[in-house]
Amino acid sequence: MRHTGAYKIATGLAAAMVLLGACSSGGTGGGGSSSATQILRIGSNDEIDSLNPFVGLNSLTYSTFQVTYPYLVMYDDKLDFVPYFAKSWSTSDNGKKWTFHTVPGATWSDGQALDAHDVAWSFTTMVKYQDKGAGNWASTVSHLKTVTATDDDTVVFSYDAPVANVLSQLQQVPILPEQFWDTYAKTGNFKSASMTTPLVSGGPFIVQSYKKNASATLKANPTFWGTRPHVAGISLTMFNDDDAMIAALRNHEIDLIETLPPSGIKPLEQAGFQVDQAPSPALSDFIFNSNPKKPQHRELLDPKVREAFALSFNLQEMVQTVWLGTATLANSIVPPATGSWSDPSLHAAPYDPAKANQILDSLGYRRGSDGIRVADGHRMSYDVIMPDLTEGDRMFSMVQGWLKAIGVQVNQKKVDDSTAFDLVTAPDGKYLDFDLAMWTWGMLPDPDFALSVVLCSQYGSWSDTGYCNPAYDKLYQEQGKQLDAAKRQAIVYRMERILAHDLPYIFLGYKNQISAHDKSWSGFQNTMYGPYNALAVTSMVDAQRD
Amino acid sequence: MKQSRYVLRRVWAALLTTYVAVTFNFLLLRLMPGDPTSRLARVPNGTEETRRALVRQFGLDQPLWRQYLDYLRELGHGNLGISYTNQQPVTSQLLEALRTTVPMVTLGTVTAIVLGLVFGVVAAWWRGHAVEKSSTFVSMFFYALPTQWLGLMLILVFSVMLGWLPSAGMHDPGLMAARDIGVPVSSTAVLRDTATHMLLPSMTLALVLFGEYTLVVRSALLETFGEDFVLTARAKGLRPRVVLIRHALRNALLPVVTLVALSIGFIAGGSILVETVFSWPGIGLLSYDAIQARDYPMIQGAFLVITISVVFCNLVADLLYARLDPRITT
Amino acid sequence: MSTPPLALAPETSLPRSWSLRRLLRQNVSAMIGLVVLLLIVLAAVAAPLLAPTPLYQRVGEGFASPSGAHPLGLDDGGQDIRTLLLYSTRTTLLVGFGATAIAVGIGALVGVVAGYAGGRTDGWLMRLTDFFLVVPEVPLMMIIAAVWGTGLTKLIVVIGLILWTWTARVIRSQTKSLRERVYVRRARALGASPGHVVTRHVLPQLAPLLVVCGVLAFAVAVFDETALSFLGLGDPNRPSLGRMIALASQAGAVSNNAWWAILYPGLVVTAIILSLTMMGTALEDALNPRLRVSHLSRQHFRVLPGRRGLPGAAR
Repeated sequence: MRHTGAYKIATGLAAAMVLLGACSSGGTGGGGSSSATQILRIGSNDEIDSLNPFVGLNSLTYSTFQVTYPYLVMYDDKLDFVPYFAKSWSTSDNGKKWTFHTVPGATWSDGQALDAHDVAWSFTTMVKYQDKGAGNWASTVSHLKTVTATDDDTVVFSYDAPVANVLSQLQQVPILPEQFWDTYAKTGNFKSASMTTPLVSGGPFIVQSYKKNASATLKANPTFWGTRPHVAGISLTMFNDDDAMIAALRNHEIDLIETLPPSGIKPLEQAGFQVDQAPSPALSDFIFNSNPKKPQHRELLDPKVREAFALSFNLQEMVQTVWLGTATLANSIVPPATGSWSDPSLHAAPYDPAKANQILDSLGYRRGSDGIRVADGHRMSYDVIMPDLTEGDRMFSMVQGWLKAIGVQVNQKKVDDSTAFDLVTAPDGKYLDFDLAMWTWGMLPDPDFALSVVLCSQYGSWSDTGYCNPAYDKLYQEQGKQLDAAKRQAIVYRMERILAHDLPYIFLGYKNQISAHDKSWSGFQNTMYGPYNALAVTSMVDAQRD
Repeated sequence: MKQSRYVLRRVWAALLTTYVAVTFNFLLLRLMPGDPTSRLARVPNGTEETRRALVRQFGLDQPLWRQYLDYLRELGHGNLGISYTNQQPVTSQLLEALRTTVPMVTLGTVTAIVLGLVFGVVAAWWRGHAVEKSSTFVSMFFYALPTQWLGLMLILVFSVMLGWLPSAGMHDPGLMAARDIGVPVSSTAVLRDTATHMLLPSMTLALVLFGEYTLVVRSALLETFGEDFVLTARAKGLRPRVVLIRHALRNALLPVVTLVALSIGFIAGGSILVETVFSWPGIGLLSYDAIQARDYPMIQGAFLVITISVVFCNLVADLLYARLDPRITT
Repeated sequence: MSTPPLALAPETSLPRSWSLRRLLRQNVSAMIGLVVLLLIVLAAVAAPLLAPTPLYQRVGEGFASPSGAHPLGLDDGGQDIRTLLLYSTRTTLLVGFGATAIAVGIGALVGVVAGYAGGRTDGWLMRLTDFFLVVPEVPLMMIIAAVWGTGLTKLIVVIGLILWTWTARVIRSQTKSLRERVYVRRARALGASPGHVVTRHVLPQLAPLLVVCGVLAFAVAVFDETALSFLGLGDPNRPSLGRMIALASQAGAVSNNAWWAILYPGLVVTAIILSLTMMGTALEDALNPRLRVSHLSRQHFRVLPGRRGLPGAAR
């Protein structure tokens, strides 16, 4: 009795396994294998978090939107705007009215007409719901009042004030298929849309399949209105681990790594792969709580103490150790990679621990028996809030060592992004509790966003410093309206210098964008966001295997 | 009679545990610090109104008991909520991830069981001999290996140094993309491809598990060897080998069956390490990402699915035990 | 790794008198385990004396391969692996000790109370234990550590709070059987308070079992430390073996073929867990009376080696 029971279990288990095996194999028909069709296989350590343009946040997501939706304009390799779905455009004298002429005779991948009415509908919808379901597009439609299609191929944008960076804003916004979205537009409940693949596309590629955490396949759009890509499709693989991604390129399972960590450069170059680098607008910073109302550890508000910190940092060593030389140094909130918007005269502080010690001595902060200074009756020992960054631990241990040398103790408080944000803004967006933090930012080509994060109005939103300076805020408004690029640049430089003096941030380094690909491929544009980016479709259209 | 009462009691206990798990799950994440809406509200020009709308949308403005009742009601309908990060239903995402996890874990577990049985029987049979010592030592050695470390070492050797096996994902990117865009791909090619990708993660799992199984099989067998029926069988003049296979082994399988039933549930959670190392897009990786992103509905859902599968397997083990061993009544 | 690998069944019964020392002397495997563990503990305690370079000092290129000056090579930050191993082992062992103390403490408390009180108390406590026993450990620890934050104390508490269930079960059944022993019954009949009976008669008897539980829990705690550190939930302010593996892997040790940065910390972890398991298995074999009688073996009914010294009362 017992024996037969055990036997039955054994057979049952075996049968279950066979069934499971069958499930996993996933039946696919057809015979033979591919040969001539070119597929570009991209590996990424980022993830497509959602295919919904009202939900997605990650940069891989936006790069995927770039090649599957029409956009009015895009960037060329010099970061100038070039025509895309808009063939040409003009501005009224007061800068409040912009007219775009779109490509005639275009269609969406489902065969429906794609014209100026789609542009008008998309932007009107984003303006209408900017406080609700379309919140993530709000910054790109600021001051935009109405958008109307005057005929099938002409669309007019009206603003209630002159806006300096209209094209930079419009470059970010995908034009959406009304036929798909109009049911959601009745309620503004865009976020709940079910993004069943294949999606309706108006770009060079169609999202054919998508598996969370794993992969996505893009297929060349046969009805695309612009220059068609050489490849038949793109496969995107999302890796959880950089080593696995590098191994995949080496084993020829993928052709291109869109963002490579510095540690991958040497092994891949040795293995005969092409590694490209370009300065990127990503920066890592050391943050001081700059809220003047902060009750504790007020010595950290003193620009002299901040200067001492900056002088103690051996940033050159950090660039070598953490980024293996693939980063640059500067002292501006607008990364040098963005070109003319970053004041070239703002250099990082030199490494001078002796001077740093001297400054702290002169302030009367004497060292205690444990070597840690005492300021206003308490030890100079602080927590540094740090979101979980890949290089974070190494960066922190270096900072810890430098500060110890000037008699300041810091402890790492490592948390996830949203908790870090909560701790920095605590309590309730008042920025009273935290002392120090470290973070990494990715900026846009236009300086507006970088400059905006330290505005008083960003409390509880983008601000990670609690910095608030009305004079600075006034300049920000001015640069936003200044249509003359040279004059705008002068204002932007002044703002950058204010920050370089007040030191809410010490900028630790501006990372390079690194990518690597198999040498049999060509046509990739080496941009500040790599070849697969949200700036243009050029690389993906030009890419081909020799 | 007694048996049916036993079954009822086990089922009742399982239901109770499930309820406790469901409640615990709810409380665990609600009472912890960290505002789940901050990530969502952190959008350019995100207004206080946006934030309030989000709080409303996720019912976070309700009193706790109200949230709890809503949670139970939705759970009853199989609705685990909407993921904070991608705004899609949690249930369907979990099911899809589970479908990816199950074959990999099954392959690993079955291999571990086979290895465990072989090593365990050998160790028990050769008790006191050098064979037992080396067999037990090998098992303990593999038991002692940190899972993620073994995974990394296997990647280092088989993917990086030798280049034999892929180190991440479950499909060859080019192959799947070709299929997706309509190039004919044979199903055997896909099958072989999946098998190749599954090999390293499932073998990592098998190697770290089999040590534990060996030790349990060995102990169970040794206990059986002390039972009277073995003595009887021996007295009847049966050859030791026959007694081992016909009598001792079958009885010793009892605790092994329990262990297997239990570990299937546990592995779903324990595979977090393996899935993270090998980028295997299953429930472990899903939980890991959800925790990184503080995606509360997803964390709750994954945790619930894992816990309930353990409770369920536990119940199955208890019931099997009762069926296999009629003496059990408590 | 949810439970220790052993079938230390709740029905395990203690022989009336036995000695840990004698057992260790007789069992080679347990002895080896003990010696290896002691060596590792010594090295960790003496880390500041033994370390060839100061902690966190950069002594060469990142991932420099093993050389005469640095026989185990350097990590990605150019630090000597030997130094890191010594200091890391300290942290890992500290987490192991701390978590084990908490786990065995709670386990003993719950086990003794449940086993001694019996009835409804027993029922509820065991239901609680069963619940914690089925909750998947790694995900639960991940959630708590992620939401609660990281740090040495938190790490110890999180691991300790999850590891106690198994000890509780073993101790409970043992207490139940001790409670019915003649001299305990006599003490109770003479009117001794439960507290007195437990501290004077039950706890001393449980001590060896607690040692076994501790040894096996320690192994799991060390494993858990490496797992949590790998998932980025370790104490970020000090080196540990788990973090060494995690950081080397993040810094691209695998791609750069810098096997030494990953291999050595893993080997130390393995050595710690292995030596603990060797001791634990030997103890378990000695404590399980059902393993002492055998009617079947390849070698005909041989008296088992190394067991003669143990007074083995059968069930």
